Amino acid sequence: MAVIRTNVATSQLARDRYVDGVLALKAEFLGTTTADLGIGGPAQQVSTYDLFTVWHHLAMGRLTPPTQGDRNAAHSGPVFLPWHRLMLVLLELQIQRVLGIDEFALPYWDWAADGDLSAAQQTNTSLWKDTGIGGDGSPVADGPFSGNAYRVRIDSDSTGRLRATDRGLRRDLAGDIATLPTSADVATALRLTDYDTPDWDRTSGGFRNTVEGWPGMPGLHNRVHVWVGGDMAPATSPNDPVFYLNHCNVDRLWEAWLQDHGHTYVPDQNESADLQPHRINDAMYSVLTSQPVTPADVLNVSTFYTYDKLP
Amino acid sequence: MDINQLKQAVQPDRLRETLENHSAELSTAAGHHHPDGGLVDVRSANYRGHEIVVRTRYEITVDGKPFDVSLSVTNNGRVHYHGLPTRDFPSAIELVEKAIEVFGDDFSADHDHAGHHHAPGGEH
Repeated sequence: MAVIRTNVATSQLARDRYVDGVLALKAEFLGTTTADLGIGGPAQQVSTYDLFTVWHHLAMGRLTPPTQGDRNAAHSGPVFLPWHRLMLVLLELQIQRVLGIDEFALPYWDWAADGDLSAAQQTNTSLWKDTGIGGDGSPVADGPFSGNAYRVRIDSDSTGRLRATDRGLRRDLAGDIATLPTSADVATALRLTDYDTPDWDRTSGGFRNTVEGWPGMPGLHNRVHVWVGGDMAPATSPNDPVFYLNHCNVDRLWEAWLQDHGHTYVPDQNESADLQPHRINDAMYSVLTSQPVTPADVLNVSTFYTYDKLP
Repeated sequence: MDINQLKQAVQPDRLRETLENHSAELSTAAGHHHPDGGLVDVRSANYRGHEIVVRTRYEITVDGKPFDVSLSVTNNGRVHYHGLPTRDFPSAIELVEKAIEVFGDDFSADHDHAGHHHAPGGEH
């Protein structure tokens, strides 16, 4: 039976379960150490939650193909939306397992609703309160992911390399860009009829590149990363649990687009092999599953999960 | 996508097995280092039947020390790098300025800008 993903701003139960699930996965260690990841210094255990951060970082460093510097195995190309959908499903299943709650569903953060508020109001919504996911700071000073309750153990340095650390979570809300995307920005993206277009990268037209946020100023997904700042800036951005709330909303936008466009996807399998793993039947890059999952596999997920409301 | 197979995949024993199968790849997770100063970025286009190829290789220093990263440039001239993956910049200078802002600790006197810290870390 499909689980129902709800708005974190209006469902305290979904928020509470999400916080509990993240903290439980942060406290679970399956034996992988930083030494196993090629990180120097004294070896330390890597949590199940942090393995997702490592996977994201690995995918980002995997250029597809390696002869160019734009597209990677999860970003700046057509697979951006399917790959993150797979990531969300796996995290959702991990939280269901660790909490023993089969009906757990990831919540989403409808950042466009906040983006319609004044700039001053955007940093003052319930999400950033102690009863939400805490506010900003270096480290974050309040909420469930502050202090010793939540430690960042692996992050990325200025050259983009992973390193071991032990510090609190960092956020700098609106420090680098004043406002979130708006509902008008979302409506503009949803009106696009092409999913993606050649050259299948950061210069493409279409829904994927627009919702990822490359054209012009940072838009939609990218703008949210930049607006939150701190640990949401580098390739280890899943360190901040708000990463999944952002991507769940991005996935919700994609679901709305898919339902309006007959669950279509491009490029098909006849396109150049240089586009692997972005073509519809290519196995997506994963170090957390052995089972191949393709973009085609995740175009219709109605038996796995649904959203309480689509834009 | 078989949801039952994925439910099995998230079980601790199965996940350990998967991680073991990917151990060679995971051992490179820390990231590649480019002692030659980074990759050569190649842009190409066809215009009126002519093939245009532009190769760009950046050599960047900050305070005289190498800032050893690979920058990529799109055909519209925007510059991007792996360290700040959700944004691009109109120039390499602006990119490095933002890196200094975001990763301030890495550019302090006890760092060599190549990810090597020469003093104990801690809460900042």
